[in-house]
Amino acid sequence: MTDYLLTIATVVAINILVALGLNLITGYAGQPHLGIGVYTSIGAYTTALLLLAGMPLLVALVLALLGATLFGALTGLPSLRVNSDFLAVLTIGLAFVVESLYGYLPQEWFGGPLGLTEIPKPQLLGVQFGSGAMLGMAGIFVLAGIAFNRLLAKSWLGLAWRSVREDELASRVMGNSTARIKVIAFAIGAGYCGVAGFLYAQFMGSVSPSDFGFLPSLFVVTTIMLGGVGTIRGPVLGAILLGILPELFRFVQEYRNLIYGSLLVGVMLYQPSGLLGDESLLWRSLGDRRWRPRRREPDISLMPSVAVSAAMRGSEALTSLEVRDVSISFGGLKALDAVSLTVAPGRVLGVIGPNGAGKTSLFNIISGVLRPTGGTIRLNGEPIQGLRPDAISQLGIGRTFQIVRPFQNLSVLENVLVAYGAKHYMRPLACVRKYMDGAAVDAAMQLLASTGLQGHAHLAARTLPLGLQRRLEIARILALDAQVLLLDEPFSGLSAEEADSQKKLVLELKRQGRAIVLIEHNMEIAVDLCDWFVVLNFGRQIAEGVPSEVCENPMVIEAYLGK
Amino acid sequence: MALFAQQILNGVLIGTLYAMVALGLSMIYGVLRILHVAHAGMYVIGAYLGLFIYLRTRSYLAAILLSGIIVGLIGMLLERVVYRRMFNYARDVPLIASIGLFVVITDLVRITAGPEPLPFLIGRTGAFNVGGIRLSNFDLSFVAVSWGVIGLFVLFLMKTKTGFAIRAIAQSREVAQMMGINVNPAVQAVFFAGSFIAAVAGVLVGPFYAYIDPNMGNTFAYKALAIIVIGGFGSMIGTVVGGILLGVFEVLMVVYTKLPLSQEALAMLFLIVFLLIRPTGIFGSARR
Repeated sequence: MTDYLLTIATVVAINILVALGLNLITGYAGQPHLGIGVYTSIGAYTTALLLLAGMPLLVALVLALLGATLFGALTGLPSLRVNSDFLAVLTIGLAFVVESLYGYLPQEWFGGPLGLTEIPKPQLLGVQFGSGAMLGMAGIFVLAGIAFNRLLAKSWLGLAWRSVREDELASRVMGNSTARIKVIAFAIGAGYCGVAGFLYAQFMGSVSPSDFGFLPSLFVVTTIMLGGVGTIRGPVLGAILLGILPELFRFVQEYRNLIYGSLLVGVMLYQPSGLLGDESLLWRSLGDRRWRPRRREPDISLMPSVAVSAAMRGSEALTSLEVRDVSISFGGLKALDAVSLTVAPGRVLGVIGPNGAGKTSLFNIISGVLRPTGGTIRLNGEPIQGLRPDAISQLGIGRTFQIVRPFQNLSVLENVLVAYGAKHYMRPLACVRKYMDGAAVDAAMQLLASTGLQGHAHLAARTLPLGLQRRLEIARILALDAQVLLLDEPFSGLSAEEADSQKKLVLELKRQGRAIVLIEHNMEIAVDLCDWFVVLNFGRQIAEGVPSEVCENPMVIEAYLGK
Repeated sequence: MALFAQQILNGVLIGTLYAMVALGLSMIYGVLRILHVAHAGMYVIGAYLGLFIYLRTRSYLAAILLSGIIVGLIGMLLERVVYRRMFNYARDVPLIASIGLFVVITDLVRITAGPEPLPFLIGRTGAFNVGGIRLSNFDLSFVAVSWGVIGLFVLFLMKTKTGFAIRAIAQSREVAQMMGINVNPAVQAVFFAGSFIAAVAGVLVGPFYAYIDPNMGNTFAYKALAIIVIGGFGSMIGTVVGGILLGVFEVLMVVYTKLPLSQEALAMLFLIVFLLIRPTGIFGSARR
């Protein structure tokens, strides 16, 4: 009886590790993965082969971990090219191919379809591990896994993962190298599975291809979805439930799949964030009684109200942007044809023109989201066209979006911290430090204070009204210490009061010596704010000059009002 | 040469089945942006219903029509009861639910009809040679029915008002709604038509392999996903071409190469290589 319980507990422990691994990839970094078993298989087969060859346990552990991690990074690469639906299908494919390979490769390699057997049990000082010691070893790895996961969840890297999950493009524009961030998630997640495989091979004493194919991988997806994806408690709860339930329902063995499938559909219908997910009934009802760490509220009474303090401004170097003869075509359509503009520090340049003139395409090109078919873009004389969006952001060009793209489920403070972290902390070692640390939070709160958002710091960004979301987008790029600001219709959809304070903010940023490019349809505001206008129509630059003159230009009037 | 042609023909026939299942999946992805894995369950239920009706009525045509209609209604039910309520949930929620549904459907079929394969034989009389290729009468009716149904499906999409609405929704649900298209009935129509054609594929596959079993949908479920990816999500022609390509590819690989992989794994390998070369599919456009 004890042995039976110990066995179940060990299986649960192994499943917790795999579930935590998948949860890092899917729950934190937002990359669907339906073939997680392949990483477990690498760990398990590596361990089995090494132990059968008489290698010491530690060597097996290290190689199992390394092998899975490397394979994780490798299989994370397709996520850079394809969208998430493709990735889901691709990972299913991966599961089938890897499972099949083990079975069909020469028998001497991986033991064919029957796999490898008689893997020696671990020993300590010549004494073989019993069920208890096995569980103890698994337990230690689970505790270490949870501790490391907690560390990651609270780290700059964890925050960056969540930003990728919320909105990958916005995360890139905030200066995150999302490619690297995603591959790291795959690598670490796979590493967890590698360790799980290491335990599995010794615990079972045998490994076979079907232990790790598509269906076992699906089981892991169920585990995290059932418990609550994107949390640590979720995968743990899911693994425990799915470990115990089949034992309780042994008397209905015949209907096991039916029950399992119905459970999955039921939970997805009624508790889509999982039984203990952030939005679940259970977790929210626990919410009031749950212990929460006290938040340290910085003293913002001492901070300037509108002025962005010098501390946040960082570099005093004044920056200018020069765009020369930039063109781009989509298919046969020339969306931009030899457009040129220059903006100097402390100046506001208005890019105006009717809908479809190519204004947003221009921003997409400057910020690196689109590649121009011709022309040059220089920042302080250095060419920057062809660089990745994150590199361009890091150089100090920040942009906002016409249709706002805050990280919806991150708090306002976290939204700003994503950019701050991309700028200052996304380096090896530094990236695993806690992001809620003093200096960064103080700096971010100061920024929020200066943009009038301090009262909303701990609210989810999606709950803000549009006006404040637009401010949040500006606050984010200020956290990047952007010296060139590309503001895409920052006034659209704002009430008169909101627009008024937004205008003050833009003027303050201008006073600080930042170079601002503004796309705006509201002529009154544009004329008020801008020093210079560039007018686009059907991708061509039809006029430029001081606003008052441009507004009198017959070609401009015609473009706006028609003949 | 004749052997080669025979293999190609086999590949095309199997590929046609793939295409039939994948068409519905692709349309459903088009209107709802979900991967309806349980769609392969429609094919399984279709095959079993087809056999049941055929044994009662001894009419293959009745089996095709009745099974198609009943399964079409089941498809509509799934949409109404499960997917419609998940519209605002995170995108992986309907995917996981659909995998759960597929497990439930397969198991229900196993429990009601038994786990063993059931023979599905219709009087196969007559065969003739065309330039060395053997064609049975069943092969001919197979081709007639499958391409007839695919043709009807395409006509439905291209020529009817509902089909027009469906194509508009696939472009943009919001804009279609603003133009006064009632989205829900159109989505229901997609589920009916898609499930109908999958069920017909199920009724055809029975006599083709001469037996059916509860797990027959497993490989189809994931191959159909592969096909709509290869075809470029939401493209009709791409889906049909992708299905046939996959069918032919599988047959040729199994017959003429010694790659150490199962048929499923070959299909998935085809998919992976294809995706890495052309991430948007045959006729797909880049869209997220």
